[in-house]
Amino acid sequence: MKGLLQTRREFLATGLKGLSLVAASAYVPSFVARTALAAGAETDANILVVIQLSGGNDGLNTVIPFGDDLYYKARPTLGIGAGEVLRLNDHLGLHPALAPLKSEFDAGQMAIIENVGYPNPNRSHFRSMEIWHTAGDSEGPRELTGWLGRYFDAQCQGADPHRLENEGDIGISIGKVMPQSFRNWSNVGIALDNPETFQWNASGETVGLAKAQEAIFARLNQPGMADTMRTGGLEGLGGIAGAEPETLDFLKHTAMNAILAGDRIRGALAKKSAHSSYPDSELANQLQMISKLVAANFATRVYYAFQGGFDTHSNQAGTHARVLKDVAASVRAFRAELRAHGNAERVMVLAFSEFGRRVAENGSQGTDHGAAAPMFLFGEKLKAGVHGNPPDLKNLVDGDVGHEVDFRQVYASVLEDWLGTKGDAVLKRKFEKAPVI
Amino acid sequence: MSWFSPIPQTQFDSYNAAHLLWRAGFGGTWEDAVSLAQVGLKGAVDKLVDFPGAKETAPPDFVTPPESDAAFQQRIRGLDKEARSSERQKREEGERGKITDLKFWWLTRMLTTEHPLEEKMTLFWHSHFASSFNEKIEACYPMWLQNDMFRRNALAPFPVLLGKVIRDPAMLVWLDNAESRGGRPNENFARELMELFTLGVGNYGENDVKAAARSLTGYTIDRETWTFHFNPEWHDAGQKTYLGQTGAWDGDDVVRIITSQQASARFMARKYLEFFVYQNPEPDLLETAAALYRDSAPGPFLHALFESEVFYSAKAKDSIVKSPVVLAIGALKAMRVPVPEKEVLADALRLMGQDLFFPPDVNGWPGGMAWINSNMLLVRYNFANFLLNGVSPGEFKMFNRKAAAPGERRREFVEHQRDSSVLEWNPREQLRELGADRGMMTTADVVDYYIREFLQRRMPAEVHQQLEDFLETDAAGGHRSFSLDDSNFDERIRGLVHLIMSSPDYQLC
Repeated sequence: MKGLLQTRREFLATGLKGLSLVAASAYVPSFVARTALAAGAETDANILVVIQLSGGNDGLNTVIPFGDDLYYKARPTLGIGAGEVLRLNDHLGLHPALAPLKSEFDAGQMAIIENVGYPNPNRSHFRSMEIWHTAGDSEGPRELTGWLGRYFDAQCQGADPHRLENEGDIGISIGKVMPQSFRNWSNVGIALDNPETFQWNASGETVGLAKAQEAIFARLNQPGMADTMRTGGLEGLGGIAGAEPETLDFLKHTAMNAILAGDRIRGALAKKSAHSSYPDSELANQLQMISKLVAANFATRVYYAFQGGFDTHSNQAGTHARVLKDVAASVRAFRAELRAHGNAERVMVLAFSEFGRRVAENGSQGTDHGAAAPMFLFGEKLKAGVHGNPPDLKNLVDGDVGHEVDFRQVYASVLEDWLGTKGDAVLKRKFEKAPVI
Repeated sequence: MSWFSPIPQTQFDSYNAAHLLWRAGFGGTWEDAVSLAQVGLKGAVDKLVDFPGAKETAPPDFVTPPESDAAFQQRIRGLDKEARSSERQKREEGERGKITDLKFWWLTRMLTTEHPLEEKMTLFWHSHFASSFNEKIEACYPMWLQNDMFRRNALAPFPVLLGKVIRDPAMLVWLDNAESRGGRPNENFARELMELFTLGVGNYGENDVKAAARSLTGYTIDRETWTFHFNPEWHDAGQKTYLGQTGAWDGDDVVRIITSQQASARFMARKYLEFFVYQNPEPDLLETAAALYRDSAPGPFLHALFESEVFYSAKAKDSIVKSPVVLAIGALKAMRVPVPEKEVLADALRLMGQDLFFPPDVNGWPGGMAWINSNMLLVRYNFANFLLNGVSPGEFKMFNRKAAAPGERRREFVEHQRDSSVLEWNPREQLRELGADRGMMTTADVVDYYIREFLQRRMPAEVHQQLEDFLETDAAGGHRSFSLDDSNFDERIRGLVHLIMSSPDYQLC
């Protein structure tokens, strides 16, 4: 198994190519020693890929209760006819744009959990997303760390905070932003958008200068050097001590994470994909990158990807069909590539959205923010099929579908039965596991 | 500390003036800071805050109302399918090209304006009332109208500005209010108006969202001209109970009721504090600021803020992560060069996470630590390398790194700059002049000079020494002396500045 251990040896042997630790090591001996002594990662561990469907996915038009007249009453223009849905059973069918996923469902590799939400649903995108990311409560004190961040913390308890010893403790988010769910105390994770820009280039043509420059660059970005950097000579200015050290510290750890993992990530991503059926979409690109990192045996156990476009307040039909089709085709291609590499068994995909949408459509052929909605899992080791009852459209809560399953029950199941950690420690409370894995 | 007491005049030195320039504007040269300090605290704040205010800004030439859908349909009627789709594509690309031009226009304005706070506030409102070109608008003209509205109302009283926002064509389309009619109102705008623009979650209920949505029905636009239009037939004129008050409310009533809430003053005071002072203000600071905000117009509020102890406190200094726009404009100011090739800068800002006119969502750019992750930090460092050396990794369109050896890249860059009449940064000339003026010639002086020009604060002796050593490194890594006449002088200075800009310190202001 390749961990960063090997990467660091590669770094030590790499001459002047990207930032080399030949240069850095003169200045960061403790950092190198700490990381180089770290143990390698566990082999063939299970991997979780989270796909965030941003904007509030219309659950009712994703898993369609075609057997319920109330659905058609509430959706005079947006309702999808019983003849068009891809039937899952006598009550429910998938949106026709999800055709690529129907085969996953039929093959027993897709689980749909109906009516997932949480008590006192918040209809703000940002607050509701925060609740899903932190696994906190809708009311009461806010949870600051993310549920996946707390999982990383639990993996490396008692260790030196902020170290990058083991990729297994580091989440990789494919996209411009770092999801709040990664927020934790032990490391800052990696956000990766474009492998081409994922390196620091010295600026000179003269070898000696470039080498010296790399060494100083590493020194400037070395964690633990924060305090002396900023206080020198400023006493005369009324005791100005500079930024809160956390900000600088955070910047340095971020830079170091990127530098240390950069070469290997770029190496893995430069390989040609074995599979070419990916659609041309952002989510497909993200998933393709993840499959390459998995194939390169990165020890990272949690990856994150994003798909937007679900906030369909007006003229929903076309937009929703398009984004659903993107998701379906991307996930199918991703799973096909995992199978081709023999990794399908150890990768589970979880897709969620911050809320569903109002049962009744609005006057602009769209839907406003709602509450509970279905959640999706893909993998070879799950209890496939539809879990839970069809949405109860007779007994709405403020015009929305009420929740029957708390999303944290699904998290508990993923944490315990897939990632192999104590769910209640990470979720800070006991949740009854949703029986899906 | 008394938060809003002015600092003593004597404390307003060049370093504090530099701090003010970064926060109220986009930074500047050390010379700018020195001359701002010379006019004293009050004079400096007057100069920044009391700008004359653009009355009716003439739109740039390329900003014209887009062809209406009706006219477009008329024009493509009779064309075959292929020609129609090609016309459609041309139209779309035309608007995309224009919005890139508009970014460039605005960035140039930020760089060259005499009134940086005007542009800084325009940027503040752009993120606060975030609307995006994407998806629903896809036309440059309404984005310009909105930008111009923010600029003309940069320091307008909040109710006045809100009155414009509920009539802003881009906003009404972006948040679907343009389609909202009585009976089945669209809640999107009403909800975000309270949650993100004025009150914050927890200060209204779901019934208030519904009442505000009803009050705002009929606030729509004329699609032919992209102008605001109130449609009485779509308006729900019935009684509504909104935030505890009952009446036949319309949009202006919503604005009036919102802005009379205590929560609104607190919400906006926090926004100002986090943008100009520091993140997570203490409860006492927040309450003091909210009271001050409630009792003054934005201009006097900012006067007090920019003279205050809290603004110049140790906690405030260098605590804010520069937004990509501030990072880029600040660097160009320090280099004293114009905005580079527009596609390249647009790409760089997008990769750094701040694509003007394309905020990520209605919450705008979250800012603070969210500007930083492994990916975006490296893009920032690489952007410095691009500005200094023309090395542009990845998606930066202009150069293909694989195509050329480093020396080639640099030459190609210089050539390109000549072609596109982008001025080349010429440190040797700059230093010669300064050297002649001040007799500044030792290696330590040169390092001092660039730290002050770009960072505007001091670095510890140890780092300083390393930067000096860097200037005195020879081709094989050994030591040599350094002088203005060195054949690779230019490479050394660029390398030095690249290092300064690749420090965590440079990311903060």
